[in-house]
Amino acid sequence: MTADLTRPGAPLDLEHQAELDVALVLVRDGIITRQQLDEALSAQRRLGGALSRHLMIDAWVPRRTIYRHLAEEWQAPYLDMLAEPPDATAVTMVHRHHDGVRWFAHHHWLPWRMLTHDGEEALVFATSVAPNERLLAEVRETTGHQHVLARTTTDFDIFRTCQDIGRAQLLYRITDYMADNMPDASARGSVVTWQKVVPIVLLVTLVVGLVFAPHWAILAAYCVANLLFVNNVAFKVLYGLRSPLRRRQVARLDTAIGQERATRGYEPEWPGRMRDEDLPMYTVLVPVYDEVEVVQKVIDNMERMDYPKSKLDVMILLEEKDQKTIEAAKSSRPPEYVRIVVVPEGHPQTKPRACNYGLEFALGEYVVIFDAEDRPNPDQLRKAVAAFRLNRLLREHVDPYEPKLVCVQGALAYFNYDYNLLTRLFSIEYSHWFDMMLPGMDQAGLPLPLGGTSNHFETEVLRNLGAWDPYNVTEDADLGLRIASQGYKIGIIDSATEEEATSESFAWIRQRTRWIKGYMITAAVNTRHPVRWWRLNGVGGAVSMGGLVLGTPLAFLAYPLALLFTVVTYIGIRTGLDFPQWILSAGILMMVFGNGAMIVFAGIAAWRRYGWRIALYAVFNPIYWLMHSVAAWRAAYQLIFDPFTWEKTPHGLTGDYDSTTGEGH
Amino acid sequence: MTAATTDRGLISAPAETPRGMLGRALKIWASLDTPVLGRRVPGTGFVIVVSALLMTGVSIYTVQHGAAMWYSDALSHLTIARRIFDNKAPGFQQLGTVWLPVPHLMLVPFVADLTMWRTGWSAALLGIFCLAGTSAAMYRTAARLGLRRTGRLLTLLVLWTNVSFLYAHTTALTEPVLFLTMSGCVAGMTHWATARRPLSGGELAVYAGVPGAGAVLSRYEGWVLVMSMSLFIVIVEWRRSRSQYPSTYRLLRFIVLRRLLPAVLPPIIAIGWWLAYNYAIYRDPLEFMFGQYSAYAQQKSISTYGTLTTKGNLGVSLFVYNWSMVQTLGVVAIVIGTLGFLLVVATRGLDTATLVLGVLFATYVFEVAALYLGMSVMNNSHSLPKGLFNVRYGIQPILFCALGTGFAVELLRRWTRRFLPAIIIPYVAVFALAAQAGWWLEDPVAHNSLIGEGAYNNATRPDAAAEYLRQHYRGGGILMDESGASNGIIPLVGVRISEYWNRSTGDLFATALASPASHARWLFVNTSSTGGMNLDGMDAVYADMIEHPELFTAYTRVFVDGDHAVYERAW
Repeated sequence: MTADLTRPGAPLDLEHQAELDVALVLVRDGIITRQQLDEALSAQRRLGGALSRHLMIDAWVPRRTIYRHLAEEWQAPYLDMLAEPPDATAVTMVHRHHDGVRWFAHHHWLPWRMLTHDGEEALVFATSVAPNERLLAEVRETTGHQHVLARTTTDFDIFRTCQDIGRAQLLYRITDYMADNMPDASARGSVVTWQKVVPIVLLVTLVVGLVFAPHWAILAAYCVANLLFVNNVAFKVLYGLRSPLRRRQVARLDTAIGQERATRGYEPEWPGRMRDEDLPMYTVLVPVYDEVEVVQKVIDNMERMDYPKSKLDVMILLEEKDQKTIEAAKSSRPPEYVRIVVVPEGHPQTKPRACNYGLEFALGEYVVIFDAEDRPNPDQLRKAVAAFRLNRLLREHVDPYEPKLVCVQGALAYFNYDYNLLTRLFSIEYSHWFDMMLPGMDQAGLPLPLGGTSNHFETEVLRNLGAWDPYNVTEDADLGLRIASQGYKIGIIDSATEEEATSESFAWIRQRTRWIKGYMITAAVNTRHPVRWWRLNGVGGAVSMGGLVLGTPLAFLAYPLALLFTVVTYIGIRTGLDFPQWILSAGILMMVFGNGAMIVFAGIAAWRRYGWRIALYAVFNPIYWLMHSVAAWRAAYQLIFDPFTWEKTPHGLTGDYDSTTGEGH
Repeated sequence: MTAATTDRGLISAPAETPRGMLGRALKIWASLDTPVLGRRVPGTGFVIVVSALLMTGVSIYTVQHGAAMWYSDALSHLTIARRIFDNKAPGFQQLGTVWLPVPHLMLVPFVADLTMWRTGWSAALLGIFCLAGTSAAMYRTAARLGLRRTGRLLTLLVLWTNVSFLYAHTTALTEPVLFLTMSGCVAGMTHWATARRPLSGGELAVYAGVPGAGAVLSRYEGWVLVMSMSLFIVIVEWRRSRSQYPSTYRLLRFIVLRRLLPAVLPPIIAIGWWLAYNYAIYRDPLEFMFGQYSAYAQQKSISTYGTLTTKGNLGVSLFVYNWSMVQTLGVVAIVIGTLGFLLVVATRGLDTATLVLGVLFATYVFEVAALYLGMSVMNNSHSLPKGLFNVRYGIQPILFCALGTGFAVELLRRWTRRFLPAIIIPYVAVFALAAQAGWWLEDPVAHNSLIGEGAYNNATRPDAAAEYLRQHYRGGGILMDESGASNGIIPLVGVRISEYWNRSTGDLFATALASPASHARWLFVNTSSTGGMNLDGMDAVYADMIEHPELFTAYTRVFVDGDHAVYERAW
């Protein structure tokens, strides 16, 4: 199965000889030219993989054409499995397998039907790989039938049939499997008793205090509101300040590696540009809902990636009830490395559920999520692979106690950063988040809450961790904490993905409501059993949780209160409440310096990424925080009454915007 | 030489541009003529640099001659700005309510240094910043309205050759900040109105609303500006969007909620804050309007004397104000600017340029209306009674005249190019502006009423007493009623304000008056029988000296300058 085709003239095994024979037949029949064959062969030598895949991707030969010819070479009749699906016996065999339909999808064959052949009953199976002895042995061992007959079908037919016959099984796996097997990690169970009781007790205490001792109750509220605000700001600022340390750390490591390699006579730069043949298969998941014009954008963005297409496995994940987008996607005739995957309808209909579905069929060693509008830097996949490989090298040869890197996060930036005021503020916030705070957290070894896209995972580890929680509306942040709690490491790569910032206020508030609600849910899920959680995550986890995951929603909830107190005390309105002067002064200082610090540091981060014209808008950060507060209070309401609702953010409002052209006059 | 190509094909062959300084200069020169195609307006940086350099030169001259500290109001503004942090009772309540607060707040960082505060450099530095900002904003407005290099530069030349305007920027008057915020607001709304892609409400709030908020808290002209800006937004958006909405109600709802509200929200919040501040400090949200030290109280007092002759008489109001304009703004700018406005109206009707000019003209309407309604006082050589008081308000329509001049020159140049060399019209305009400036500079005090008013202020003030105190003060505190007539000389003394026992210290002033010898080594008093017309009688310290001479037996008079005297405690 692993013929070395990297050398011209190398001897071919039978399987590859069959593929080559098919290719020559295609040339003879005029389906491809000799030049196209040579190019496909050349690509195969460089990149490995099946010649048929290169012919499909590079020479655009229809899949069925190739498989019909392969069927003749393999002497296994061609089967259109979508027209003639497996019978009930075959389906039962699939369902009985311990790893379910996914196993068959990944092994490229399926039991099809029982037939009588030469007077005895035989199992007919459909395969999209050569039915060699190894495969026949695997089929016999898996099904228990000794008499097996092969039919040739396309990989697409195998995949689609797996979807059809495994629908119920897949639905369970992507929706409730994690909740049933890891109940403490799932948001399905919502909050536990003490988490319900504590807020109620606090609320009642406040109300009782306001009735019987208003002075002390308001004083307490004033102090708590300011402390919550400062807690979150301090976290963001302090860890933002650590980002230069990380840059220095990375530079020192690069220098050390370079020097060491130089002394050994190697090229100093490592890993440098990886050779195409060394690159692994990479799965790209693109969940899409209600975005008709999306496929071409995804293709355009993938075409820009500096990664061999034959090693890309792009899955556009569509929701079953979104027929409009499905029709549009199908009619767009995507290239062979792009799969249109329809996720079965179910509840909750969330992005993580769709991603889980894609993960079931992912072929890549690594998997990444991009949104449809995302424009990742072309080098991002290579940089992610390099980061994983570097970690592997360090663990194997330098420090065996180095935690295994299972996820890397690319920076997120916005291509419509100067579209309007909101996108400017959003971009400033993101540049601080991804260019300062997350690198600082990484440097400090804190668990990182992942961003919604551009997080790259080692596929197998991700599956073992339970993948994304479909009941959590910020499944990314939740997964980041789960990864850290299992002793794995999340890294940052210096490669950005340009996204589309939400440009409308109400859409922004809905999106932010979901994020803040997600943080609340993530905090609730992780702190159900505080002692156990503490033992697992330690001080770093607690700092991340208190300062960011729990600290962010609390700060946004408290912000209007803290601001109101500051304004009232600042302009000297006589409230009749005689607070100690030092408390009033401390409150004003916290508010002024807290807001000032956020303005300065977010401004610096934005300056580095977008320039001073955008950075200046950081002065409006205090107003931007008020918008966060609106979202936070909405989130608090939804957390109680509607925790699983996923408020979809509309994309494509400014999809064609190009900041370099400005708005024109 | 190879031709430059783009994906659209051959576009041009690059010209051989000289390198070095000359090349850079040619590039800048070309940028001034570049049409505005996006957010950036080429040439803005150049305008900022030139105006800042010009203003620096003017400031050096004015400050060195002491003229930057001529206006009594300027001294008061400098005092207010510094006493916020340098006072026995520091805090934002020191902003007071006599004037709107933004000019003082903008002065704060510049008055931190005692020497800069005393010499007037604090105000001059702010003036440099303001002139650079105003010039940039007017340049951008002109460029966005379609004016090319000639029109843009003539717009700026009106500002840069106006001696009154430049002088005002060297002192701590409120006008520079008003011009900065007003021009910023106008530039913002012009940007919004001329952008091909409709800018969002948020952008409108930032570009026009925030400068508008600064304007409403700088001078009351800002309030009129915001009102006229609102009208501008409604008209422009109505014209732009009426075809997109099926009903007038929905169109109006869109305009009000998505355009007007974001634009006026910052000024409304600013005004709301000011009312709250007044309420918090004085228990009356309208203290600034009707309080003891308000313009209203001043006008009421003047009206009682029967000298508020513009009140209720539109003809006199127009006559007096127009003469103030002539004496400060200059005939040339008024004539060419007005001509430009008329040409724009005649050729373009009610288009964006006309509306922008209309918004800038609103300050003229406001000034005349304020005189007519008795809300403002102005005395010049053509008023009854004659005098030099608030003549400087005549400079207010300068932005209107500047932009109008830009249009006049560019339109006339286009129309006359068939029979006149293109250089003639700009040359005539530049010559006229230069001649006007030359005449002013020949004798600024006599020829220019804005500077003359400052000189008059200076001549009637006890600067000699302030100088005596500056040279002889060796600590021990100063007791002074700064509200007494001509007593506002604190910056000239150059001593930290925390050394003073005066009205701004609140209750501490009464305490010091009750026992002066134990509080202050020095007394600064006005010995005349009356205070300012709007004030509560004579100098409180001097009144106390007459009423309770036994409290002041320890003091010896060490300096006298007319009505003003300095006392020092002898033991």
